[in-house]
Amino acid sequence: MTQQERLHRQDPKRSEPIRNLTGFLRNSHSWGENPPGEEPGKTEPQGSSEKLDDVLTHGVHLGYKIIEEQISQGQRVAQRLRKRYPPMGDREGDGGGEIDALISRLLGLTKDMGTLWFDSMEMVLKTPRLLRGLAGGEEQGEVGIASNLAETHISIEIASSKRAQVSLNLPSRPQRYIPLVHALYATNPAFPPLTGISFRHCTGSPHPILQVEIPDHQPASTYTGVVADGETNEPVGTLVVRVLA
Amino acid sequence: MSIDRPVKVAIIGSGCAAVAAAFELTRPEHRGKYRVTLYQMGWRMGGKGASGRGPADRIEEHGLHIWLGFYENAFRLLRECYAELKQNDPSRRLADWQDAFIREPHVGIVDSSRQGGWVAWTALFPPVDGLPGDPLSTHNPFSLGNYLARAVALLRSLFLGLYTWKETEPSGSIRAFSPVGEKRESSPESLIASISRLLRVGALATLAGLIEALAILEMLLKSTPTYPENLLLRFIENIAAAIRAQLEDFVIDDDEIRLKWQIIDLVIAILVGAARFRLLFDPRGLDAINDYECRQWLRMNGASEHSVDCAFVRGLYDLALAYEDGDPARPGLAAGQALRGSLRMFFTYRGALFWKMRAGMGDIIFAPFYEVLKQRGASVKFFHRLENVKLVDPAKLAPGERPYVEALEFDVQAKMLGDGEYSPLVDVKGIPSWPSQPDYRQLEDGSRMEREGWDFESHWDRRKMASVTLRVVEDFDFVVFGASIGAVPHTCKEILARDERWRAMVQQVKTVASQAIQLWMNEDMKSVGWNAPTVTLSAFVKPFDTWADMEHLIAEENWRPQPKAIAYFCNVLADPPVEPDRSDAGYPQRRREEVRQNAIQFLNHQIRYLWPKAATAQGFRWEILADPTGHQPTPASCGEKRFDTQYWRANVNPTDRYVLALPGSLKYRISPLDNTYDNLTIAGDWTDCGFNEGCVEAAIMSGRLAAHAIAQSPPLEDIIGYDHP
Ligand SMILES: Cc1cc2nc3c(=O)[nH]c(=O)nc-3n(C[C@H](O)[C@H](O)[C@H](O)COP(=O)(O)OP(=O)(O)OC[C@H]3O[C@@H](n4cnc5c(N)ncnc54)[C@H](O)[C@@H]3O)c2cc1C
Repeated sequence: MTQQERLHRQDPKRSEPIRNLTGFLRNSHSWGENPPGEEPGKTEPQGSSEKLDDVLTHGVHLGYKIIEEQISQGQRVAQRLRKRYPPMGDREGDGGGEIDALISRLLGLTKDMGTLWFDSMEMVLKTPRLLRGLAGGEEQGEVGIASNLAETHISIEIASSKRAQVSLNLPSRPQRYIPLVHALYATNPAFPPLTGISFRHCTGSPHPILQVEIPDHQPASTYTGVVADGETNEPVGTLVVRVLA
Repeated sequence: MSIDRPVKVAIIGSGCAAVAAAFELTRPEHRGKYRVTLYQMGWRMGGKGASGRGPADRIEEHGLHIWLGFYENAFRLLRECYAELKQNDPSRRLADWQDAFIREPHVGIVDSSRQGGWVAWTALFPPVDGLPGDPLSTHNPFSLGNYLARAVALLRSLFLGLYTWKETEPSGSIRAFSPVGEKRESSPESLIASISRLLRVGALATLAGLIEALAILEMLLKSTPTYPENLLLRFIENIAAAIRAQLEDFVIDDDEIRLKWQIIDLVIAILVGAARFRLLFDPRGLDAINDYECRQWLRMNGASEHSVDCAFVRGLYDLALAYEDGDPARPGLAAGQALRGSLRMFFTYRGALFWKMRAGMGDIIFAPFYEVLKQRGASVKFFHRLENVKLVDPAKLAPGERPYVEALEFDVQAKMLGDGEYSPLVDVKGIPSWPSQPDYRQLEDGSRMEREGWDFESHWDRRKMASVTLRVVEDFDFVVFGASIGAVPHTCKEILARDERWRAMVQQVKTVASQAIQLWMNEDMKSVGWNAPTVTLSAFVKPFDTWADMEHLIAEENWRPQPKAIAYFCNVLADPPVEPDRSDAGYPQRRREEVRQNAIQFLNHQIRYLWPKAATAQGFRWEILADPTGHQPTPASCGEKRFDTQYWRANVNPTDRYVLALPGSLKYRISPLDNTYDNLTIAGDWTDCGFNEGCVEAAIMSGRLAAHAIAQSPPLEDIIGYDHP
């Protein structure tokens, strides 16, 4: 036996699942056309007949319905409640606090749900790729699962006195567009967003450089945000910066 | 890697993960590139999913095993396995994978009633298009946006899909079946019935009740002439007063509304949480909240204390055996994974929510895989217990070379007579099955082993016939470590000594012991007082909170006379304060005795709440238990001694312990794709496999990832649900 004979494992392209928005789209070429063990032509892929318009209409319809129902019901109910149960000072007993809390929770709920829906609809509407994906993938194959840094040829420069990890997920090569980063937010809304992040181009190189500046006082946390196409402002990927303590 | 000899892969274990890795690496597309050998202690494959045939060919399981309708990877591989076998032998029994499963649309939970006693609920989950393992269209079902839409739809339909079995007698038992939910129909009669019910029981008392009411109102208004005006008016008035009712009725007298409100409250909390934690856009997906305990996270997002402790949540924890150290007072599930699991379970199942195997899990899953793997040229070395994963001396490594496994050291627990190969399967009614005991006739010194009671699966039984060492290059090129995490401290000491990540993983990724009992009864379920359809039910009392009606197995066993009912119970088993020493040979037997005592107590005192006619004031009616020897009960054998004719077990072996998904622990898992050790990859439901919860699907995904780590196949995009928010 010699050392040379020992086989080596290839380095994996990645070692984590892609859990961000790009995972919205499946791109599984290697799936057979037919269920395992069945003959060709036996099953029709589900949803293939769904058209973009249907999906859109349904999404918008559903979105409005949710918002309308949630917000208007919430407000109406809260109004009635307030009528029935005047504010704390005007009545006796200790049940009032509970009712106030319920009213505000109810309003909070309706607001949250409305916002959530707006957020997701906005993201979908702004991203033709996502829409196509939802509608049955007219452009299947075009849209890949996020490639890694080596494939997208982006260098990163970090200016920070703290330890930080940066992970960038872009589904397609940025040569086709100028990437732009919006502010990155922590899960804790009390933390200030990271704003000193931008892409710049070096003369003579087609590949952009991602510059990450982390202020000294930035609290340790995970900051996340969307990378957009600088021209259309369409989301094209995500960026996460973990500032370590 | 371009070489002209087969690549030798040693796979440790033959549980779901190991088998999936072997299946992938031996695919015909690889043209025999990988020569796979599985090394398995004892006489059977399957690990935590192993089963055996006991007296009367009865099926004896490790515990209750159910496949869920979202197990895309597991079903896909199994379907391919069945198709391959069928090609060679179209007339074999259960040749079609669909014949090997039955669909179970009912899920049940048990709750204590405000009126005293217990109330059992079952929800009917209607069949969904497609089958698990069918190709997915590019219409991705695994997006949070999609889940959200489904959750909202669920809110609206919750009132309609829930069926309950309600207590009708003051004895506190569950007697009659009264489906009180209604399906959404637009006929005037059914709408009037819906409205009357909504008005009567105060179901408008929730936000979702309002939504539902509005939908009905819309229909009513469109066809007013059909409906009495006063009903319409009353209905509108009641919508207006709805929230008041919500406040009042939530101190709840009506059990059904209480449960529904709780589920609705939970769904709303999830929607709110998704917004507050920006889960839709967080690149970590649901992992972003894995440091929170699921209940804590729900509370943070406004779920009430009642909802967080409701039977529905308890039921989900029970199904996931999610109790740290087996302590019912310490439920623990990482919020993100719990959510991922629930969303996948309820919103992405295909065919049916639950799939039950038509025979033992060993027979339906592992025997077919064994046969296919053999056909493809893989071999399985039974009675090989891994003792040590030996790493190369770091001094021998070239600069930049990664550490690797130099040798694998095994105990050979038994040798075959005449150096032949162990033949592990027996035929039961045309189904190749695993026996509950090894076939001692094939073993050297077999009758002595049988007499002396060698337990080849026990961690505490160290007996062996020989030792063997496999060496890198000579005997293997790559290793897939497919034993469970409980085996790591005992077999990977060298890795643990030098690798902090592995040490952290072993410390943080905890496991729990479990207990299981199986009862065969000579009275049917109706006679013991269960009047509802077949069900799988959880959230019942400890020590056996989960019950599945397994009547469908009767036909596959060989009883004379046949029993009329089969019931499986399962639960966690609390750990002792101090881990038993490996020399404590009596430990497994003591735990088994504990399970026996638990079972007798449970049957004497608690089963009546579920099966009111199975017990009298004196306790369980032991005579209803069927004896596999066919002996009819005599008065002397009719006491609790008769329980000894049934099957029970304590799963306390380290590798048999169920893997938990505790908050804050998942980040310590290591991926099968990790390449710290050049020729070693790990596989099992304890790895970072994308779906980090102890279940068949996780194990299979992990096995597929391990295969990818070695062969770059299957592509990661092909591992369904790996890239999932
Ligand atoms: C009581 C119970 C009920 C369950 N119910 C369900 C259910 O209903 N649905 C569901 O999806 N999941 C269920 N699970 C979980 C499911 O069984 C596991 O997730 C799955 O079987 C794990 O597979 P695995 O390959 O990761 O590990 P294992 O099945 O543990 O496989 C490990 C393998 O390694 C072998 N091994 C261990 N040590 C050695 C050694 N030293 N040398 C050689 N071989 C060794 C073992 O014998 C085994 O073959 C349940 C688990 C339990 C305990």
